Amino acid sequence: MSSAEIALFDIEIDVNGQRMTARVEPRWLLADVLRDQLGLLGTHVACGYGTCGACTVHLNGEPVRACLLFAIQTDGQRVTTVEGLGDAAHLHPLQRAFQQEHGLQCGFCTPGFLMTAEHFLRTTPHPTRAAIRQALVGNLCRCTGYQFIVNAVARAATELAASAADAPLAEPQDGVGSGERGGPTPGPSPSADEEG
Amino acid sequence: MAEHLPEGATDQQANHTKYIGERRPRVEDVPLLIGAGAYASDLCFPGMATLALVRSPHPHARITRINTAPALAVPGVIAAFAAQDLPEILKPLPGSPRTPEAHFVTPTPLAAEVVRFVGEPVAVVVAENAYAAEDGAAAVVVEYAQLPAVVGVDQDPATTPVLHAGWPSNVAETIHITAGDGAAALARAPVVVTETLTLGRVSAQPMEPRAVVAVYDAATAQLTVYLATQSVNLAHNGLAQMLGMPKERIRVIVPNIGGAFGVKTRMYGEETLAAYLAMRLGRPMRWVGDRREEFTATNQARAQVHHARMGLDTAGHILAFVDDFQQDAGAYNITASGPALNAAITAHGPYRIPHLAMTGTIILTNTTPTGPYRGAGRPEGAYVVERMLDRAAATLGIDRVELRRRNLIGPDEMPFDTGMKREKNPIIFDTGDYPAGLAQVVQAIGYAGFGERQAAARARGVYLGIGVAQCLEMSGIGQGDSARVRIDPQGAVWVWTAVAQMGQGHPTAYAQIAAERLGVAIERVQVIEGDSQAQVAGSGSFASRSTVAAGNAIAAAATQVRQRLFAAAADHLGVQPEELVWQGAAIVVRANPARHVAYQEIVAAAGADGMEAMADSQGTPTFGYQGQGVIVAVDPDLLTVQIEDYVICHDGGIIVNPLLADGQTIGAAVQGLGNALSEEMSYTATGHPRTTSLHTYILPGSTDTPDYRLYEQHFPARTNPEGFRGLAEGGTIPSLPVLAQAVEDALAPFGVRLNALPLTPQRLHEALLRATPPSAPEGGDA
Repeated sequence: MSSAEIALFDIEIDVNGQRMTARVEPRWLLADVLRDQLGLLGTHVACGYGTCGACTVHLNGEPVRACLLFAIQTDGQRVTTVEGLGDAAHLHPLQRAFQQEHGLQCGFCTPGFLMTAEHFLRTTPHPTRAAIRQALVGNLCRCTGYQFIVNAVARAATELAASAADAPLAEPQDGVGSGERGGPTPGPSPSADEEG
Repeated sequence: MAEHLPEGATDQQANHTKYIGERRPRVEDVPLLIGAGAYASDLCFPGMATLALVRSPHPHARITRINTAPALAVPGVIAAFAAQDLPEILKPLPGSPRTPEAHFVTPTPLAAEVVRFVGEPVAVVVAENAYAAEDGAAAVVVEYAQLPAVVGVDQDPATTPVLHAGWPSNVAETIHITAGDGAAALARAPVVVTETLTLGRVSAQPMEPRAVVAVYDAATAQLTVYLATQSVNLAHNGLAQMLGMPKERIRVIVPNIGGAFGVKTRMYGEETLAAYLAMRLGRPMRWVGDRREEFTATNQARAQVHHARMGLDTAGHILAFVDDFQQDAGAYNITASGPALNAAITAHGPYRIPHLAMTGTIILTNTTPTGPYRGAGRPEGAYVVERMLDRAAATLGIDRVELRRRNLIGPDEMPFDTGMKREKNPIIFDTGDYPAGLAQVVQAIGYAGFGERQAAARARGVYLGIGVAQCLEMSGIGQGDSARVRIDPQGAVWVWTAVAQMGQGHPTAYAQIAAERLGVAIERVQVIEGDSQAQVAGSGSFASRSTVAAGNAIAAAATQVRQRLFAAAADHLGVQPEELVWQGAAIVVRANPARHVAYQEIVAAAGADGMEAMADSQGTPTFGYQGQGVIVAVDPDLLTVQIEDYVICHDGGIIVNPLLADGQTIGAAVQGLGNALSEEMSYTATGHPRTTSLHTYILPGSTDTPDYRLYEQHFPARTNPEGFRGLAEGGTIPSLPVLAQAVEDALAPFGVRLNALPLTPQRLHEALLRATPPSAPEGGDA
């Protein structure tokens, strides 16, 4: 069967600091384009209608559900996925804390929790435990029962606050895709405005 | 010490061979944390096509016509098939009845003539991507003649339609678990408490929906199926049976699993469809379920109604426990007798019950099939005995905890033969100190001083309630798993098992077992699971059995390798094996460490393949205590339940990794909390599911759940060599009764009786409408 009758559009997205292009149907969801066109498989689709938070990514530094956005809506925008948070050699403090505190079991929901928590700690550097639970209310986990996820976010908050105190110039601007890379955990692809 | 080590023996950790019991973060986390987890839905092969299923919208109907042709007109659709187009695989999915007398039926991959639940697949569409596949599925025309639907287990045989041809009724089988003579003892008992207790139907809802990818290599005639399954061997055998292919032409590989909890144990039709169509169409084939399919087309659980009677003497000693219960099996009795047996056995609890008679009837209905899920009958059994004790306490005017204390089996009575048998095997509680466990829970939750606190809160209009409940977690059933351990000339250690890791932490915990029993550094150990090519026997990961079964097998195989290694090293050094010890990566003579040899050298001398051993697990089921205490606050207007405090005391036996054990316990407890308070698969009277999304089926979230306070007992299991107990379901089991008890206690001023779970605000509202406040003349204990 030919698919010639479906109109395709070229889009260009800044994904994790890299310019990426894709040819998409207007109805294709951002989550599907990230996964199937751009090969970024860390963004998981668990519910498909915005309830579970597994597909949370950042759009221009703000958390969004990649299953509730059409990819075409992000044309010309900046998207950060879990792959932009850190890599095996340079784990983000949140990623390290999730491992140390056993904040993940099956791991399927974990990328969404990390992206939600990263934004939360950027905007709330000294959270209470109750505030952490409140911040995570839009992400569902079926394995951990949340307690160790809360532990992990609390640990990361302490580490990030300590390193921010050590390096006041590394003030994060608007997300892991840019300013925060100047912090204690260098990311894989530093950008021009790195020093913030 | 280092100067004695041979050159190249650089394993920094090698002296540290005490790994079992170490609280150790997981080695497998990094890929999962950076988005490189490789779940089934992440796999991509050149030319891969995607499947979508057309599913029945009716609970019971005859298919009168299917026209798949319109799907072929949809751009991107490659092919579409109904059942009659796929005669080669139109056979029942694998399974066998528990007894010859049982009626037993499994579904075919696609329904051919009759659909029996909403969500049953009737056609499959193959397309270039998921969008086209779903468009194609929507274009398939299916015409149905609706049949009367059977909903609920209370069925009048005279008027209820029978789902399956040749069955006299919808009863698949009746199971019995007995000790002594329950009926006679009940008739003699001076006090008899009678209740009907209901457990709503629930759905496991792992975050990753079911998924499968099949790849066929026509040149070698080899089929590879990547399947998120809890049992690689069941899947391997099952696919061979369904496809009519020899097993050596099929390889099943289990990728990372995004949660399973029991519902990814048995086979589903989509797996056969993907495998068959990959061969027929010559393209890699992917099916990834969506959340709605996880609600309608994945096995559900619980769904039991218990008619229980407990006989006691006036001092509160249990004399008899008799329970007739029904298990709603859904439309096919795939696995329902397992949960029924578990419920009947677990209903014994940690108590002295001289006479017990449990009868479970497994009944089919026009709903999604039920099967094992977190606890698989154990939470149901604990719910029944614990709630009966609550009722007995009220009837006798004895404190709830005191009544339990009077009936607990003591440590001096261990091992305790219950008199029950499961398939001829006696049920024996192996070891533990249940009274100490209960005392820990009671002390930690502050039971003694709670009355005053409760009264003071009520004076302020705050309704607090307390609950204390307990269970024995039966684990390690279905022994006979093997493990293979190999050490190679480079010093790497390889461990193969037939169980499946879906988040429990096997790659870490099993490396701990192998490293300690072998004596090598844990960094050298690789745990490999989920590959049928490994040819390791075993039935998979379910029923909290993995560490009891595979863990013991790993320990035994690693011990054999160590013995062989030391025997060879002893030959090399001219001493007896008993004279040798590990020192770093060297094996040294204890009395003269200057005499040593690098273990790699010994392994290399054994041949290019190194040293390898395969061992089987040995053992019988073990029973670990778990007690829970909870304080809740119930909002009298909104009827929401807030957890104020929650303590758990459990006996995990020998714990391999306390960090992972705690994670399992808390995670299981939260699933129980959801089962108790918010989760219910609801069906209309016509058999249509009401709760097919996360908007209507409410999973616990981060603000619904407490910080659990954990306490531990460590009585090594006596029924397996390593003393391991399963512990991944214990958290769920008593959480259902403990929360029911606490909420009922909170609402005691209104006189509510809560016999049905879950305790949703609506159900609490209805209970309040029915309630008779205890201030009324006929009211009793307050």
